[in-house]
Amino acid sequence: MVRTIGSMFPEAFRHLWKKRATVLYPFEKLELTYRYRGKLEFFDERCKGCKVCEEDCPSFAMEIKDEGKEQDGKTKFRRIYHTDRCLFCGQCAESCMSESIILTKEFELAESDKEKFTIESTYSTEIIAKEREVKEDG
Amino acid sequence: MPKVTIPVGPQHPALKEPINFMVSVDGETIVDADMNLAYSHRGIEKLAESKTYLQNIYLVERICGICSHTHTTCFVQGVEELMGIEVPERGLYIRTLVAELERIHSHLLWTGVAGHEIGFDTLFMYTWRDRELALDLLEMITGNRVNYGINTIGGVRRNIKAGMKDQILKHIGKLEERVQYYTDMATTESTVLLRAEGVGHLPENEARKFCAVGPTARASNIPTDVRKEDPYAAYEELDFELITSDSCDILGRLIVRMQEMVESCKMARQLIENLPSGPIRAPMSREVPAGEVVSRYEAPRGECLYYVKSNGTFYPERLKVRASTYANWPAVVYSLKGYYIADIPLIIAAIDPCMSCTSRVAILDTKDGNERKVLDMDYLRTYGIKWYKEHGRGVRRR
Amino acid sequence: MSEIVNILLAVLYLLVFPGFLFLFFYGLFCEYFDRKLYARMQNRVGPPLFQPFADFVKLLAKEDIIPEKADKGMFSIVPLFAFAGVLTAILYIPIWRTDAVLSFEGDLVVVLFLLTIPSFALFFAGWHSTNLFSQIGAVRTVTQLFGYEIPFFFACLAPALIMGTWSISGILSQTVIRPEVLILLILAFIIAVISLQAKLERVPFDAPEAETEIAGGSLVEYTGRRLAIFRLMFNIKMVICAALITALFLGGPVLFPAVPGPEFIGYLLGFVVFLLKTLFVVFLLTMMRTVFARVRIDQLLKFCYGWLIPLSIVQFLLLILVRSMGWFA
Repeated sequence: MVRTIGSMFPEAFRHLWKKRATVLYPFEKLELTYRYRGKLEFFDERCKGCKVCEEDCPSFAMEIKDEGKEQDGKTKFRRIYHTDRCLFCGQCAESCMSESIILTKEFELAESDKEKFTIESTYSTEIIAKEREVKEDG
Repeated sequence: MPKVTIPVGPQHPALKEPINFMVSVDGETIVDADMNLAYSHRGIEKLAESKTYLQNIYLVERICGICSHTHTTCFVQGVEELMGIEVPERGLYIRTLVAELERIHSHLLWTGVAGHEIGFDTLFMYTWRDRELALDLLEMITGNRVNYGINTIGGVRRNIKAGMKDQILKHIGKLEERVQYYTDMATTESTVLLRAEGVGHLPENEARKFCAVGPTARASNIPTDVRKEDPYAAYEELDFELITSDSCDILGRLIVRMQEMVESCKMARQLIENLPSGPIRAPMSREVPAGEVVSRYEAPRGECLYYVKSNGTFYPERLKVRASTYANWPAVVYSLKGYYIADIPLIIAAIDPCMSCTSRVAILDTKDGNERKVLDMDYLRTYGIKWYKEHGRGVRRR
Repeated sequence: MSEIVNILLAVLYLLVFPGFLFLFFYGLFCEYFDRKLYARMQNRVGPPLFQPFADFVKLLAKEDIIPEKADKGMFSIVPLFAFAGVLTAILYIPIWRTDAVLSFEGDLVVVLFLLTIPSFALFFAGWHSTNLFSQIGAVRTVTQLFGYEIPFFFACLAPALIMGTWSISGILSQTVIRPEVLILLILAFIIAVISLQAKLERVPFDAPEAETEIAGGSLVEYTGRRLAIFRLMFNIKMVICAALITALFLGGPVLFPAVPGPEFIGYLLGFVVFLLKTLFVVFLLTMMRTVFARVRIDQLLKFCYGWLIPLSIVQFLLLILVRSMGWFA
């Protein structure tokens, strides 16, 4: 077998004048792809209250609570989203029948206050059953 | 120096994850080695029984960060078999493409770690930098660099768009070039050869005896590869070679991995060029019919095995994972003997160990004596024979 | 009156320049230079200029732990002993002119001896830590010592042989008279740089402190200010070894061709030349660190006895031939 010594020398020497490969993260940020799965964003007005997101979530990050009927026949819901439990798989957005969950590109979610991990909102909506459809692209 | 026993791990700079080797040395030479596993038991198999099949995809994905696609594909394949779903061609192709890109990034990562273990940090930095090319592709296709979340029961979740093909081919070309450079460099550089040649010798018969899998077995001249033996996904339609080496040492494992990367690049090209049109996933129901299945998959580290037992509900009754590292440990203990203390990190690293893949059982040492019970091989064999007599050969293979 | 001036001057030499203060900052700078080059060659960013200093200060502030089973006396005194050893050596090495602060016939041997002290200190430190890994490291340190020390001595004595003096300052003043002799010493220079890498225990010869094998070797139990002193000692040792090689093989602070001018400017220029030449030696050492993998201790010994020592004997024979022919008498 051929043997050389210091065969990485030319490559290493050449890199003395090359730009660093490191990205100095907090100061410069890479662009994320549009398929990136970050923090969830909700469109409550589209929600039909089927609770499939709660059912499919692998880490119990989503809670949809039924709070009884309102006067206009709509049902009141309380939605609790735990960002600390969420593992950003996007299954809820995929399972959602009414496209009321969207994944944003936000990923810097560190907080020192535990309370801030829980995002709550209440809304009321009409419950409409709808056939599930297969989605192609996220 | 008299004979002493050195503990390597569970905390040791050479080990990235906890495992313990009790190495008896005479001077600098290793005379005996013993291994203790199960420092990172996470109870994943038990947890899987309380989650639905769909949720379990994301659970098994997190067994290992490097080969996350391995675990989901292996699991999903088994469940699809149970449900009798035919995955569309395009779905299988995308699954295979992600699998091959994962193999490239895993092997490049291994090259870097092996370089670091022998003090060659420059190789480590360069391979990890070039690994980003594969990771960028994975991010573009799936959305994430690790834990891709692309598999679902019945197909894949993300499609490959027309504009992505050029980008993929471009990066594959760059990767091929870099892999070629590392192959040339690592197999001719004297200091690397001094450390890798003839070290960690694992002869063919011993490798067979220890049931080694993956590159470890292939470097001992055993042509074993699930992709060839039992083709899953789109591997039947691909043209690739099974790489083996007869040198049986760490250099052989290095060369096997390097050439496998070249083959993976070739396969990725074929997959992109022959990508069939059509849907990427089949509709699926949430209920899985009763039955049991064994699913095999060639992970970057070797054969990965899943056993899924369903009782007809939303939840699996039993999920058993045999990840590839687990099969390779006995070979490590064997190949440590007779070499130097300095070779320990490299020999351990040579199988590309992933501790989180190995821990499936935790043995507790209770204070008041020997209450622990380990089922030995003979017991398991008689139990297995009895079980098959009663139940018949119900294990289906894909 | 002149006695007081002399004492003050000696204190100045010892504590400020070229002693402690200069070596402290230049040692830290060399560490920065080494790390930065290493990082740049690996396509990384590397540390900022003040990083080694910040590391030093941080270590000083850390908790100081002496293991219960360790020999407390030896454990504490060894770092200071090694530190004092390397600091003394600078006084015999010319830095801004051809004369060092102190010089006498045979000071080359003294410097070589002083530069061996850190290796023994490392051995004692490792041995008396009574940690399994540090003891393996200590044994490896001594094993390695027998490998590199012989070719290093041979290589450093080669200039003494051809110049006919055993004083570093003397060798340097001879070099100024006949710089062409240096061409004969190229082989010795290469041997010296390679064995210096082993002496400094850096990749590819860092088996005694291999992080991935024996968790850092001899210094595994050291923390806080003792570790800080050890690390500073390594940096200063690198500077002094580089300075020694510069003085012996590269003409020290002498600029070829010499620039005429007032004495003061000459000293200043000499000092700058000295810095550049030592940084060049450090660059060579960094380069070796970058492109090689670590060799095992047995392979190192094989390399030293199989290649370096025969080559240094060849160099000696060459010089003896040259001298006996009277070409450079």
